[in-house]
Amino acid sequence: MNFFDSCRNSLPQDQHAQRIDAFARFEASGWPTPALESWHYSDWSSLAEKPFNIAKPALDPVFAPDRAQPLALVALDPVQTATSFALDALNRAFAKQGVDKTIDGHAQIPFLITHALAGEQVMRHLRHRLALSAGSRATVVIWDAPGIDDSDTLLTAVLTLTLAAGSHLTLIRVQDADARATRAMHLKAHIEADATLEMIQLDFGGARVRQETEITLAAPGARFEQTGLAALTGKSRVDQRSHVWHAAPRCISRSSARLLAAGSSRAILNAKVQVQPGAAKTDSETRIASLLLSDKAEIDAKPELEIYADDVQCAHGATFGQLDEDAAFYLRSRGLSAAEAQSLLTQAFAQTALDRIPLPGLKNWVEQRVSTLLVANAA
Amino acid sequence: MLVIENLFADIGSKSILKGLSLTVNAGEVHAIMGPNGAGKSTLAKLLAGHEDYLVTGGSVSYRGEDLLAMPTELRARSGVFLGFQYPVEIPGVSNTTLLKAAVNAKLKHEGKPEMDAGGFLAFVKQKVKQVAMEPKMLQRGVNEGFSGGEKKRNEILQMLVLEPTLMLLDETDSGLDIDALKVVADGINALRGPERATVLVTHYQRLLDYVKPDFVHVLAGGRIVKSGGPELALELEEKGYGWLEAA
Repeated sequence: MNFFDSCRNSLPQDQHAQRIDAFARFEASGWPTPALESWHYSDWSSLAEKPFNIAKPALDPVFAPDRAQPLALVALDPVQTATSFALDALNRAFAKQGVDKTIDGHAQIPFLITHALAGEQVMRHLRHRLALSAGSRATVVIWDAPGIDDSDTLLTAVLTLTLAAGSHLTLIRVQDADARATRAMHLKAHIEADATLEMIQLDFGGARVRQETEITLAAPGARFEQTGLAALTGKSRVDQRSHVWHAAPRCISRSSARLLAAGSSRAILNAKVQVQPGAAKTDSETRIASLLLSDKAEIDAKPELEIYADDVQCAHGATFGQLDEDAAFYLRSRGLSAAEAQSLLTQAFAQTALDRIPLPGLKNWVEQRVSTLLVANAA
Repeated sequence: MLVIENLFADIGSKSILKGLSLTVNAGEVHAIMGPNGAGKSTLAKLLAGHEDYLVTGGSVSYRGEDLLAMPTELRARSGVFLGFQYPVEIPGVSNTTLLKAAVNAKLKHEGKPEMDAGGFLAFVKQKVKQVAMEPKMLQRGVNEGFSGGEKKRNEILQMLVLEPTLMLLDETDSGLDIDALKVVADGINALRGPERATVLVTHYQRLLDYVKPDFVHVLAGGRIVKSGGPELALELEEKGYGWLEAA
């Protein structure tokens, strides 16, 4: 049985007609392929041959970084705003629940949204809504931990974020799914005046991963700061798109990504900044640094700028490198072996991204994770 | 300790060292001076094992062993230390991480047990004081955002921690104010001893007021063209190098 046959009869009963409609739309468009412009580097058409079953609800969080408070899943109306997400119709057909939370005041404890999945050919589709009211502050961790049995799982998630004036959200996404897992997430944020979204995106696993981040800086003083690290090994393939719209004057965006690819993995990042007419005094910077650790690995990094306003300050750049030979010589001249020097310098390449993680427990965990990945890769 | 015989070396298609010979015995301090482009830095880096240089003739022995056959890290573990003219910045690798890895690599090479974390920290802190560095700089990336003087102090700190047998200091004195120069000189003098030797590559007589050399050599055109005692440095300061190159 293929994917579509297996799914058609398992659509949830509530809002059944809308789900049938959504699923029909997904079936008509099919799994995304490079025929879609924004899917230039990824072909998921082989998933059409694979049946998936809906996961049993209520998975316990396997990990609570820095004693985060797990956010409960609640019933959500899946039939809402259209997005550019190629898997939106699939998500809409199956999504029943997700996190729905409005944060007021200063939340002292970080919140945790868990995306873990376990079980062979099991799937889950979630729709989340997070809102920060004016002047509030919070830290949210989205945690996609490996399952217990390295199984073939499918998860799609849509997260809609609204940050009211003066609010501040630190959002940390950790994707460490199983080596055979498929993950697709679409995040859409609307940032109001003087509000800040600080985002840290960490990718370590997954066979097929698609991450879409759409940010609208909607009012003066809105700010988006993004730090990314993908440290990939094996056959992992992570395809990320981020699109930032500067829709108002005096907004700031900063994107800094580090891509590390070992084995026969592939990291793809398209980071686009678009300055809309009237968005004067825009201040934007996008930097992508890539490091290939194997001749079978591939990295495709593309920073993009589109400017339709005057009086803006925008910078973008992508660097590609092997490890710095002068630094390696320096370390060896102090007695470190070539392998030790390479491992330290690779870790250092990742470290600049890891230093942005504000939760000490999570930072430690991630540092160890990267170190383990690199050691396993060197062996 | 160090015997260089008729050494020839190229970088790319350019020959830099052209028959250089030099003998350094334990307990001695040698200063190598000379005009820009004479090959001074090449000599220092080549002795530390930099792979950009191709040795086309001659030999270098260190404590009776063929130094040129040893990889860079083995030279370091065997007690050869190069103080860099331009120490590199390595963001993301802390000074502590580097010092610890370096000390443990050396101890392991000598068949000794690694230092425990507490003992290592106390040992390093004492050395940090000696070079008048802020202890918090240990947590920063190697030379990251350091001023020129701080980088050179950091080189001396690494040297004091590693206690090398042969110290090669490539213009460690350049770009230093007088206080930093004293710190660097004190560091070198602290390690002076009958079992150790020092080769100072320098442009200026200034450092030699603080670190008294036993021998001064002039390197010009890829060879040692003149050798003498400390008085030679003063003569060079006065006359420049022109009279030697002409000779």
